[in-house]
Amino acid sequence: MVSAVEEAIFFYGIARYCPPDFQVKGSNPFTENYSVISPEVLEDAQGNQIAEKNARFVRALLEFDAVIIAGQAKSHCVAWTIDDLLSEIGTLDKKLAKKVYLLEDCTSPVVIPGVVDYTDEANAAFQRFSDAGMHVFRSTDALESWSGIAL
Amino acid sequence: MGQVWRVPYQERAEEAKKWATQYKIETASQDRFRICLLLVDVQNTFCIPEFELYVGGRSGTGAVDDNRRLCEFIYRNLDVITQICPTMDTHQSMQIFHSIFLVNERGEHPTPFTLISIEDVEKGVWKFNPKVAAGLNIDVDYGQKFLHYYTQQLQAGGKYDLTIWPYHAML
Repeated sequence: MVSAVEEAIFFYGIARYCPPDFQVKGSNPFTENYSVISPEVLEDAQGNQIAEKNARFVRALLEFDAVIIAGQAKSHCVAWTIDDLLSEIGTLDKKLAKKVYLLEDCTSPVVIPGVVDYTDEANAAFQRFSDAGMHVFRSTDALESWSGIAL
Repeated sequence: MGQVWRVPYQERAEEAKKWATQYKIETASQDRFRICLLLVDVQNTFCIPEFELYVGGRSGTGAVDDNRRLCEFIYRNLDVITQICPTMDTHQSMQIFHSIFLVNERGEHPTPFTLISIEDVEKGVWKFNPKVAAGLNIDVDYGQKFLHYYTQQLQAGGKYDLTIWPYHAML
């Protein structure tokens, strides 16, 4: 974890008596795993399960009144995590999308100059999430002013 | 922000306790409106310039600037964030999206950021590397069939093609 962010999380954990809930992903040899909610492919050609969704985590997230999402990369792990969360929300109650807040100034897309640039894909994904009812805010906007946040 | 350093845990713990007392900050379990902060892969490999898969955005300073703002956000809203959930990407060398998993007719592996479509697999542009099989406890035929099925599934799901990433987030 990035030192400065680890420090902030540690400070938070002590001040609030709340340890971080780490979610580890990505070590299955047979599938990419951008989203923390689900690997890309869950079974092999014969239909045998090779990986599974993190259903427990989805349930935990949706029990909160608000879920604020940031991190890297906006075009990959962030986008596919939100996309999977939106799919799960779609099977439960579409109004749950209003609980989700995306911190657009704390996430960036993969850009390797002259090789790849996923900026447009990332922005299109965020537009789709916004259209589905999720909120997009900046970290510098006062939290108490965010729509739906009742502190 | 863009560097790796030792976190002075003991000092920060003492400061955090003082801070909580001084500003009468309650424990998170007391929050009535419960806010989760989900932090996706805020890891050195993605966030530190010169690291394997640094996410620079178009500005070139993307993840570094993001994390400066993120730290400020955490400290500023420390009293109302109920839970922080950091995700951690964890990889090993022999995974489907790393170079060594695939090989061409000449015995070469794909370079990072190569995209591999189902057509590439069907034409034999890239094949499952048979030398990987034993280490993953599968047979070569299964590996090749799985690669075909995998690229087909990605295409059917509207996802990006199989992407070969630089070795990163290594355990």
